[in-house]
Amino acid sequence: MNGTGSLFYTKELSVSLKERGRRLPVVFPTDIAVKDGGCTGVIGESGCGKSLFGRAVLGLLTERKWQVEGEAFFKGERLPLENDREMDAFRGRRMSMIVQDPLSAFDPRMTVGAHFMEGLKRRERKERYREAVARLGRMLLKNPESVMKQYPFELSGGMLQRVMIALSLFAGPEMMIADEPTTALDSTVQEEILQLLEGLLGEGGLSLLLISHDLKVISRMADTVYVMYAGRIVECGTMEEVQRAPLHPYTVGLFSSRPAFSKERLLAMEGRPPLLEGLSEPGCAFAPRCPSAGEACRKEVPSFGAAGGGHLVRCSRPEAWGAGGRGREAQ
Amino acid sequence: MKFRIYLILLAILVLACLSAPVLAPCDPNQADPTAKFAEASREHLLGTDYLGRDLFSRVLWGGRNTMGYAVFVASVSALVGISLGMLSGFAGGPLDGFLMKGSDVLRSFPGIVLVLIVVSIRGVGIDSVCLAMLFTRWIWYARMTRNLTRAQMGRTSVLASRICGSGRLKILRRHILPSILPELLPVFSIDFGSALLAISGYSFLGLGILPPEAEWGMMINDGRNYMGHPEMMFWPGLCVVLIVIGVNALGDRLRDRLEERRS
Amino acid sequence: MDTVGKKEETASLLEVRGVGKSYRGRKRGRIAAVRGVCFSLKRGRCLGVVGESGCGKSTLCRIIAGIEKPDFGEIRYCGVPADYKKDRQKIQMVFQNSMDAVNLHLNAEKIISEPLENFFSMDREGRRREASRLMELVGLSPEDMGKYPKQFSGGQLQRICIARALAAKPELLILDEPLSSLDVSVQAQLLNLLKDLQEQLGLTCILVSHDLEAVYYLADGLAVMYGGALVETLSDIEALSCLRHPYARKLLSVCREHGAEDFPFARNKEHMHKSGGFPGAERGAEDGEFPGIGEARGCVYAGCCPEADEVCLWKTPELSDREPGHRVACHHV
Repeated sequence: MNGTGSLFYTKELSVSLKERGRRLPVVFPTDIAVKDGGCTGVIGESGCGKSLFGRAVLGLLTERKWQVEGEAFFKGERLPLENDREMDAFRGRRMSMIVQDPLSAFDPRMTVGAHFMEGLKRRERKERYREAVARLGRMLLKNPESVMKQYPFELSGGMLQRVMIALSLFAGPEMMIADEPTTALDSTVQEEILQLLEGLLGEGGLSLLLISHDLKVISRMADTVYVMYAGRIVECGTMEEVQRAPLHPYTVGLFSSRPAFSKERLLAMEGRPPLLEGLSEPGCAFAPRCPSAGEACRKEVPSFGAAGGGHLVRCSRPEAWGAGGRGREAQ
Repeated sequence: MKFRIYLILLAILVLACLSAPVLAPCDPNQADPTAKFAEASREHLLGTDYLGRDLFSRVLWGGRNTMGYAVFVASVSALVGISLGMLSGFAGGPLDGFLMKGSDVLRSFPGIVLVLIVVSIRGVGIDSVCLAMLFTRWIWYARMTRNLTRAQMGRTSVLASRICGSGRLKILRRHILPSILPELLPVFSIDFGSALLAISGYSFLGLGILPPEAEWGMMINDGRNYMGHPEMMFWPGLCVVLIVIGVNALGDRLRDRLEERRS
Repeated sequence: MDTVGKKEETASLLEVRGVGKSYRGRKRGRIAAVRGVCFSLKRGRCLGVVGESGCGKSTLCRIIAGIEKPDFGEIRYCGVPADYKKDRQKIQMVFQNSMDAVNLHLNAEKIISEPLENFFSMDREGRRREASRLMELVGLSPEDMGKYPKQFSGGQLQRICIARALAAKPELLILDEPLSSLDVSVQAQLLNLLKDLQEQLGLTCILVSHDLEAVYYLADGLAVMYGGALVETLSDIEALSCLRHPYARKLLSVCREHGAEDFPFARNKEHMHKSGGFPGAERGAEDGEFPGIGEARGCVYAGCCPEADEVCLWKTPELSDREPGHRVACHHV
């Protein structure tokens, strides 16, 4: 999708792993755009490179191990991904991040309050404290004053995630990258966090890049969705369109493999995603699992084809699947 | 690279000492008053000592003694410690408490005092020294094994094995021991080094092996009286240092390997 | 108990009677993990147990599997108190994290053979044949029997764990979150596998999960757990929409596909304010001890319930029949 004009977009951003002199591509050149005030979802299974992509965008990957190429733009400004120090002007201040396991994101020796106060002079503290309590209150935490005094391990996962959101929003960023924000949480708590994020999207004027493996989360939050498989975007479009008429067989399989209050047999995809070493093999990475793969699919990686209305799909035979609604019906 | 050198030196030393009966040119205890402090020559590769005994032969035979007793002490204490540790960790409850408290009490004795007590009861000799060392050496193994065992006991795989109907002995043998042994291997190598130093040390003090039997620590002690002939101290000292460094390097490498595998 | 009750008793394979278990708390006192759980399970049926993390469902599994002893209550198996020495073979369990549930030093064949060695007198060749049959049964190639756990993916390893459990020829299979650490597409494969196995082998199952949709797919009956207690049980899972307990309805409403509009109250904002974290386990800790069955300590869900009032705070609601096959523990239904 053409990203120019969006709040944030990447241009051929790729990530590869440096290992013993070799370079293994993990995320192939990828273009993703986040609209101002919108929520873009990236969906994929573990190991597809979605989390790495989220980290690469903030320049969080260590240079010793990872090679990041390509460009990312924020409000028309090119992000200095190669320069860690210059990225500090963006990280946290204009773009922030929340992660899956909130407990690991906090310093276990510091109280929640201390995390808010980090690096402040004494006289600034009182004001910051008041501000922090107010912010936590806005995250619908029951008792912000006592939460400020507690240590991270004393809080439940849902509460910690709220604290993390409050903390990551403190400097007033315009965009947030949420990497599996609800995966470790119970379904009822998950719902509450999603409602919170929804509120931030609407009234808060925040834009969100939501990375998740959970179709339910993405379909609820995102307006635009990117489906990632084996390091490549295989399908993208508006959430509505992709959900109504998924074109890539992987997307179809992803939709049909979730049970949805029915005892009808699930249409599970056979096999498993390729391993890291197999990513650079020729041909469509999904071909070995694809029920309609032909000879051509095994030879070269298909390029993006347009299916109208900004709906793109990386499949050489989308017509084999037709525009037939959800996978369940398509069979 | 450095590790290879240590390993090769260690292997050469150990092999040479093991084959002392073949390699040693002379009887290590045969004195030759006519050839005191002889220079290194074809006949006496490293020269002779103050009684005219062949230093090279004494170093080889001494190594057999020193290393042999060190291996014995380290293995017996490892065997006892690992068994008691596994028992303690597996049984838990009062037995665990008793064993661990008991080991704490034993550990509070300084090693040298224990040696002196045993020696004063049983008389001077390497067997007394070994006995005294065994009293406290197993504790380290027992503690570590016990903690490792407890960690393993909490693993789901052990629960799964219980559900599969495996009895206690089978769980210990099949699941716990193979998982903790690799972690204990480096401990053994380090312990061996320290046992070797301790045996040499006690012999140096005159508590261990009795003359005229050769032993590295005692040879160093003998050499102390003849500072004009440093080779008497140098060769056995060098051997002790090389063996300890080599074994410790081996232990470190083993530990690194294991950590690599775990991550 | 009257004669009707007795007849039911003989028909059920497993009966859990007022089982409770508590652990020593972090600071002081004891934390109740399971509080007086009662249910029975008929032969050939599959019961789904749902609840969030920390609600005691794993502890319940372990008690039923006989690797933990309950503080009170009893487990009856085939109408008599379960004897885990004798019935060991008949009750098997599959754990959540397959990588943790197997010994990494043993290969697949040895893992699957372990129950064979213990329960059946077979020679090595027989065990090997049986192991390869089981590998095939769970959809793996018998050629992979020599591989070690690290060489398998999470889904494959979970299949091996299922094969190990099936090797004992169990009557009751307890599945403790068997899918939660797996990818969506692998989850679907395993769900299908479990469904096939259920039909082929006529297994009685207890499926513990936080995923209501997966439970719906596999289970015949449903039990909703909260704070260590059963708050609602349903013998026919297809009647999901008649769930009555506020917590059960909230759980159902967050599964969007079922249509949250049917349960409007669960989405109101005030409700959200109230539920900061899960209170179940912590409440017990504050109390200093955990309540026994019927002890007046209030409803486990009272702290988060939008409908809670005075009564809920001091009186524990009993799990009582609403309709045949549908029991709820709530004062307000």
